[in-house]
Amino acid sequence: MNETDRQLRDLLEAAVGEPPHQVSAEAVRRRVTWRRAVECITAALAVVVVAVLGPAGIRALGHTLRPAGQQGSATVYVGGHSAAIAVTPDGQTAYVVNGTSGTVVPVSTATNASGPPIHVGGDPAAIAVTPDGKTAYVISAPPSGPGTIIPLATATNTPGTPIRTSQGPDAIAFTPDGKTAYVTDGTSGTVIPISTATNAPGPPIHVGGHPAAIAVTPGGQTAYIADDTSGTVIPISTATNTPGKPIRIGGPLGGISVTP
Amino acid sequence: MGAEVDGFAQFVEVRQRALQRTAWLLTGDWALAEDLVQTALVRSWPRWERIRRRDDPEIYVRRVMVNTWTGWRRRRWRAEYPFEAVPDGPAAGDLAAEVTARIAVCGALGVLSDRQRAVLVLRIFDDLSEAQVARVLGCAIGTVKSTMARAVAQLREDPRLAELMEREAR
Repeated sequence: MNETDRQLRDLLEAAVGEPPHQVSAEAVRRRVTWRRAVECITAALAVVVVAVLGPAGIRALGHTLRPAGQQGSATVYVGGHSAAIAVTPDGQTAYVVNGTSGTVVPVSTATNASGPPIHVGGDPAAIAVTPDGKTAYVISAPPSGPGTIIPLATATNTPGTPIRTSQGPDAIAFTPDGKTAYVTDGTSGTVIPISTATNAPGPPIHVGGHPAAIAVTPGGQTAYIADDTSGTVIPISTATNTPGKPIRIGGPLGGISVTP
Repeated sequence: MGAEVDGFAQFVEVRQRALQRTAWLLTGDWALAEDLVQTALVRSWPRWERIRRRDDPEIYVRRVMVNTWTGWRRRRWRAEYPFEAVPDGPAAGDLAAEVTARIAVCGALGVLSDRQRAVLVLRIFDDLSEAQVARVLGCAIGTVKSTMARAVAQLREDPRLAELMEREAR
């Protein structure tokens, strides 16, 4: 720190003074609780609206409220905190994960009717469906303890045995052949390949930073990882599972996708 | 639930003053500063266990704080007023010096861009390294350096601040 910096620092010090109030963890917790309560009330209201009006009523309401030219789509209420969604390759079912209640809600795309919620537990945050459409992999990250990946048979909508990989799985993507799922783990800065045939995790690929999102090229040769903290994208060769040279993008990176 | 909540409570207790002071330098208002710190903590708390494991929680919370602040600036910023004159007569002794410094600093910081202001406050006042500032702002270290240089150059042009600095140097 040079002389000017020091002088500036002294000036800032002199100007700041002391905060008049303390911020307490208790107040923060109250605000979080309050926010969650509001979310729950909103969800409950949505359920009441759906129950009172029924699917036909909702569609009619949607038609009444929506400006002309946008007719034909309707909002599907699944409740809670809908954190992620994935659609089966045949386009018939959308799976919506609901972080608040620890469930996954299947929605029929033909009727936009939601099916019974599938309980997976924890705090499901991400979902992806295998290219063959047989299994949906749900990433569930509980507030404490390690996260898990729950395979969900789409034929029966039943969850299978959770796969434990590491501490904090964040995002998931499949190779086009469906043989491997890649899961990013922000906690350990790694990407973990999982064989979809055996659901056994392979050795973690160290990429560093906080890998937050992943996409695989249509050819399946490369998985691209978006690193949240360093603002870089790291290519991983799927043949050798080794990371390549990071591509600098800048900014906090939250998502990634590849053109078809 | 116990352990991670304790960690959080401890973090808040130990760091809230420093966070609030940083927030004041960003917002120039104690009520907003308090709200900013609380909002950043509210956003961090649900992910606390993961934040603590993967990262320096302080850097993470500061990052949420700066992002929240820039979000406010884009959407609903009405609370900061430029200080043209001291509203009341000067008080005696140190208080007057503090008020003078406060007005000069608020005025000078108000001229900076959001990013310049954030870099300056984090680097100079919070004494974070260039790499840490880069992580908080999600930018390259080079950007931190150049932004910092521009911010300091800009502050040097402020006559009130220059006067105070000169007085201090003597």
